[in-house]
Amino acid sequence: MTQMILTKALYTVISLAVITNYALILIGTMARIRAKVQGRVGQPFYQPYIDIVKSNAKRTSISHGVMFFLGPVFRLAGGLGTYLFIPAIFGSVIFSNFSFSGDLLLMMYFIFFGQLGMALGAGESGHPHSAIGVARGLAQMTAFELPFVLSVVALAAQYGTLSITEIVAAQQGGFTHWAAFTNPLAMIAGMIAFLGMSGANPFSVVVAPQEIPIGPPTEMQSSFLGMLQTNRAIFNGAKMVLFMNLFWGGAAHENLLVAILIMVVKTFLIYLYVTIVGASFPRFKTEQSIRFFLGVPTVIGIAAVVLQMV
Amino acid sequence: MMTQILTVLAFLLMALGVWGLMSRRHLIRIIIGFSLLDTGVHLLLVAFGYRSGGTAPILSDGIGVSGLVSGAVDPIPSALVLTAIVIGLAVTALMLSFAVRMYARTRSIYIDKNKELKW
Amino acid sequence: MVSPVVLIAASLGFAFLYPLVERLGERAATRIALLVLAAFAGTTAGWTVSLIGSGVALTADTAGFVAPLSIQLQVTAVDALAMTVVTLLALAALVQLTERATDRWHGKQVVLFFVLLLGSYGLIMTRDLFNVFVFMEISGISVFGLLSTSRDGRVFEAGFKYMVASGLASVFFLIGTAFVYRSVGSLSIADITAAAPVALASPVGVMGLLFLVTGILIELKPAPANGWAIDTYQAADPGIGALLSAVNATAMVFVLVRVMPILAGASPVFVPLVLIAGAGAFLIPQAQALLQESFKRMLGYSSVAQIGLVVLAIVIPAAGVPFAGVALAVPLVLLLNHAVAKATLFWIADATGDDASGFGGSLPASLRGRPALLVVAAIAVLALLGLPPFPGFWAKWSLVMGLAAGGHIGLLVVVLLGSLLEVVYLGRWLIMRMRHVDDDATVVSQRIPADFAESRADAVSGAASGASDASGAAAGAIPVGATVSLGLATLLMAGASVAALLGSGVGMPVLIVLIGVAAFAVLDVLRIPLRLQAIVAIAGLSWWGVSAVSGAALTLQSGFVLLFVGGAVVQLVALLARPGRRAGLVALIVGMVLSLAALTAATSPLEVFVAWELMTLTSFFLVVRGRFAAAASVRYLTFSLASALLMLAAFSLATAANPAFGTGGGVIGTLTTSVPWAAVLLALSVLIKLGAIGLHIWLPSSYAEAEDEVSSLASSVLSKAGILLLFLGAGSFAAPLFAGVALNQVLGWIGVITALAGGMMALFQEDIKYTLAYSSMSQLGYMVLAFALMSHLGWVTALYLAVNHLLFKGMLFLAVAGIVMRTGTRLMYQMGGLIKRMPFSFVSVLVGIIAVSGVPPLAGFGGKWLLYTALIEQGWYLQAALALFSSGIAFLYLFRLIHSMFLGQRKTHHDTVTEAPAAVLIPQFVFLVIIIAISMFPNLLIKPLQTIVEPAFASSVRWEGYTVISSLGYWNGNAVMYVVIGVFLAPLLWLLAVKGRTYRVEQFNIVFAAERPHTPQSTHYAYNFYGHYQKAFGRLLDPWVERFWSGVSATAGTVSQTLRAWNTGNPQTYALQILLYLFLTYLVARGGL
Repeated sequence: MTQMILTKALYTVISLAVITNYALILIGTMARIRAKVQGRVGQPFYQPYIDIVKSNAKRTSISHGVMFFLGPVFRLAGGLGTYLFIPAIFGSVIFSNFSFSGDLLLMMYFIFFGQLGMALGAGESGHPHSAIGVARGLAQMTAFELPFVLSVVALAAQYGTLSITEIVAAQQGGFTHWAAFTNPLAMIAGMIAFLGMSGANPFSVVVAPQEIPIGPPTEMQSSFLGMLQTNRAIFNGAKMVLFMNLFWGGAAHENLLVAILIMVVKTFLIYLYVTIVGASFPRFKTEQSIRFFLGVPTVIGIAAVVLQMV
Repeated sequence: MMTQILTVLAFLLMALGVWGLMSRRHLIRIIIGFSLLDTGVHLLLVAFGYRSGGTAPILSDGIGVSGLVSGAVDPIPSALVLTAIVIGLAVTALMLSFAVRMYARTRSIYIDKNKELKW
Repeated sequence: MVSPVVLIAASLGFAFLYPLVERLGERAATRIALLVLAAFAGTTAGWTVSLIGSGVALTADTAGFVAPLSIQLQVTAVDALAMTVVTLLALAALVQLTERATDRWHGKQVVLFFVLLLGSYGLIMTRDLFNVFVFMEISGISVFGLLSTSRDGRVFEAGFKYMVASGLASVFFLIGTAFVYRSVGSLSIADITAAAPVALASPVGVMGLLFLVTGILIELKPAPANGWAIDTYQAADPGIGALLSAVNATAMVFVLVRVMPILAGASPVFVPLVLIAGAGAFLIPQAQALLQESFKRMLGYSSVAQIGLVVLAIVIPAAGVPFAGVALAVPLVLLLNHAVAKATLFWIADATGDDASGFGGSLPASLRGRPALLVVAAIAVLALLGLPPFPGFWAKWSLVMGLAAGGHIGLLVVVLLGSLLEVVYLGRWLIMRMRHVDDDATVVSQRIPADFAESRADAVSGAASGASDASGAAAGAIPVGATVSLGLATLLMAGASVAALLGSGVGMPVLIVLIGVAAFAVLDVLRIPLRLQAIVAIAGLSWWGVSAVSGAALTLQSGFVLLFVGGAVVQLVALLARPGRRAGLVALIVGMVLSLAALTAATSPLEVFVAWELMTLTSFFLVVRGRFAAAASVRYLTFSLASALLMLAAFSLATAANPAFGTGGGVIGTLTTSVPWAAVLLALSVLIKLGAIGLHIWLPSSYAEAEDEVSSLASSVLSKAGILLLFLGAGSFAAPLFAGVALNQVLGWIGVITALAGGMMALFQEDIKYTLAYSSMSQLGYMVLAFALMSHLGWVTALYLAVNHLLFKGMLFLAVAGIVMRTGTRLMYQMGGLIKRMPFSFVSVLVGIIAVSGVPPLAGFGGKWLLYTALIEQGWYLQAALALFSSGIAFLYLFRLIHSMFLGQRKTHHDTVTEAPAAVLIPQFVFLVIIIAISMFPNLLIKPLQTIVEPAFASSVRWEGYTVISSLGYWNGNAVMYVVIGVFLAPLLWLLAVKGRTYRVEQFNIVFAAERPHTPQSTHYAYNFYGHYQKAFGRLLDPWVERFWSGVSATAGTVSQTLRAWNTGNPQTYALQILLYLFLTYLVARGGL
């Protein structure tokens, strides 16, 4: 029993280490790509590591209260948990994580965990800009939830299961079996929702990073900020893995290293798509993004679901 | 025959009363119409009790009970009419007194000036 | 036994002697008159007892002849009972009239009073047609005489109209009598009845009878030819109003009872004719009464309507359980119920001198602070509305069952619609009288003060209310006569209620409700403090609940008993936080809980309905206690009783089709009916109670404006009654309705749209209680959706959601109660930063909102998992997506709630607020522990729920350890909990390790564009939190439903206005209406033009 727990702990650490480092590098790379698009030199691809180390190395930090203190904890726990409830690589024991705890529904609701905790922590800081960011973020979130949920329901209807592992299993046997091609409408709705989920342009009003500091992390500093930066990597990684599993056939190969490589390529492409869209479009206001998500993507999602019903 | 004539007359009288009741604005005239209506009903009652050529329903030596039953006018309607007349009189008196009080209150004897209560 | 003649002679004799008696002094004379009346009452009561025992009638012939030559007087048991009640009411009326502060009756008034009584006795006892006329006129003349003594000068105008109308009625009656006599040759009603089928079947006979019955009907003041009577009620002394309504009208009804066999024997046209007359007489005045500004006039409309109902009941044979076997029981009970209740209301109008009616802040709250008078008034209103436990309820039940059994669907609609209208105006009157003096009766949504002016505005209104409080108290003393007469009437009503209740055959659970309420009412009267009452209630209910479920297998019934009683007992602890007395609070809560329990134990439709009505009533009186709850409780009462009436209609239709309907008891599907309409009505009734979209407008304001502890109980416990009813009626909803669509599919869509709409509306509330109220609406929508699936998983979900909702909504509402208690505001933006002052409340709210929103690892997620799994399993994909969307919306308003209250910047004047009292926190933490427990071990809850659902569906999930596996997915709550603890602890430990360098800073120490803010009001981001959301949705968020119901209300007003304009006040118009009425009866009898 002890041995079993220890083995699982080791696997978890490996799995987390892989996804964290990969996602950090990915974020750095994408930032650099975006800079190139905009005609700048940009940061080195390892800049996220520097940021995290710098934040954690601060000599002082200030706290506004218990909930503020716990906010980043909630946030990181949310990111970790989300990742750990997803089987990252199909068929791999090491990367199956804790997906036995629950199915897709669990994962979808656990995303709220970190957001709620973070929002609470940011709220206790008393900074109005934090609260404004939260209000915007939550509002936008409910809006992109709708097309996302529709596409998930369409998938669940298509495959008759809510288990992520089984959804991936059903997509094996060549790219024509991927949900992206067997259920293109669901994929489109889902991938548009993913834009909102990742908070890049045009849906970046939540954290408006370029102007006055706004958004939940406004008051966060030192190790609090470091924790948020770590989470950003893991959480993004988790989401990309999820979408890869849902629509793009997951990552499956008998050789684990090849499987990891497949995952890297697929998630890189998924993130690239977000970056390209982000670099191409200006930012929406909150009400505009709400209207956007409840418009065309929702209709596409409904169409995907209705197709499953007839 | 007499019964029929009386019945028709009774209804005529009633119609006259109703017409008076409905068409006059003056309270006293309305009350008169009302009395006519009452009288018409009384007449109707009497008419229904009348028997052509019948005798008075009084038990006397010449006529036995059987003779009374076969030959006399039905006494019950007459008794009823007596009662009804008394009652009608009382109601008419009350109506008149109310009309007086209405006039005292509103200084108008006309019905359409005395309708504060409505809806 | 005393001969009937003696009563007549004694009345007349005393009336003649009274001027002599008065020589002894006015007071002595009235006392003697009272004694005489008491002797009459003794006589009639004696008759009642012996006649019910012997079963034969008491007969007396007059003038030494025998019938038909003599005028025969006869008293049956029914007559004797009616005469007893009439005499007692007359006694009470005379006390009231001779012992009041002003205009005490004496002299000729007492004489006329006895003549009126004589006429009434005569009408009930005589068996001679012409004699009926005589007594009618005697009553009439005495009434006119009495009227002329009223103070209001308008009474002469009214009396004149009355005389014209009653003169016409007499003429009709006499013409009719003449025709009947001509055809039959006798005036004895017995002879005429025997001869009717032969002698009166001819056209002439029928014509005569038509005159006769029209005369009688006009004397009963039927709408639409009754304006003269209404005018009289308005102008007359309320004491005379009481006599007219209770004594005179009651006696007149007996004339119709006597004549009815003649009519029915002579021609089949008369029964429908009387039915139509009764229906019109019931419905039209109810609509006309809606807009009345004079209470007496409104009571007049109500009186003529009630008599219309009695007329219906005379013709319709009773059905259902109560009174079914006893001839004339239903009309008699309705009649006496009305007589007592209406007399009570007239006397109250006299005692308070308050003749205002309608709706508005300027109306006097004349019963506020007069608990005894309020109780009496409430009893009278409830009795008039035909609500349990008063006698009229059982009669109305039997009548409605009889209507459905006889296939009179149109009349059924008329009776229910009329009853609803009556609820509106009588309920409104009661609410306006008992409301708080500060309440201008307009509050149906959150109130946001104009900015910054708030404190000053409060101060002003406070001062004003203080003044009106004082004036309310000064209105003070009730005259001794009114006290005695109201007491007597209430005793009469109570006695009749007990008798009817015991005779109705309903079981112990219903009786326990009333016993419970009565017991705690006694504690109130004994001035036992609230805390002690609460402790007694907690102990009593716990003991009762435990004994009710211990040893019993887990079923729907015992499960809901646990839910209701357990949920309420825990929340009752919160009452310990308030010292002092709050009259009626505990009694009503206990009554509500026990009626919910009675609902689970009901074994017949009647018991279900009684329990439902009792629940409605107790909860209504709880809601109306709120300081600004007048407008809200008008809505609550109207919608709740509309729901009850729909249920009544459903039950009657179902019983008519299948007499065994609903006789199982307490198990799933007991109330299953195969009649589609009954199923639809039942569903509608439940949907109203659950606040489904479109029918929800009563819900937010009722929950929000009630007292805080009541809000929590209503939202967490009471709202589950509808869910229970859904399960009881389960089998009714699956049958196809139209075009292959089953009712449950419609229910499902209604459920999910309710969930979404409720959440959307919660999003934009600044008032925390309105937020929670809309949240309840939304959650109930989920339950309806889950139930509508009609599958194993769906039902488990519905029950799971119900339990979960009870837990977290109890927590949230109680936490809010504590916060409102401490901060004195309900507006969230006026709070902020309370986390440091009220940390325990924060924890409770935090756990509560996590449990609502379904974020793992807490129990809420279990509900979500079950719901979506169940929905997708049944192929309800779009509903699943919508439900998920609305669950996101829930997340929004919940975050707003916790942020605005606890986070952000604390107001300076809240720097010293303290944590909520322990008594309020304890129940929250009890619920919290339960939530944590079922989150760790979901099987603790889900497995018992499966057992409950098992009788209806085989299980569709299996368990592997802590993992529940459905056909679609799986969930291991236990593992989730451990993973979450793990991923939470790791970063926490890291942070704690580096905590040494963390400094705590004070409020306002934030980076804010190079400025340090110092006013929390301008720094706390809370007002209009989701303004962008509102902008995004635009006009979709308009209050469409509110507008619709405003339209309905306005339309009802217009109809009422149009109908009452018919009563022009002109005697000639009234006379014309009476002639038209005659013509109409002729047309009906002919069957058309």
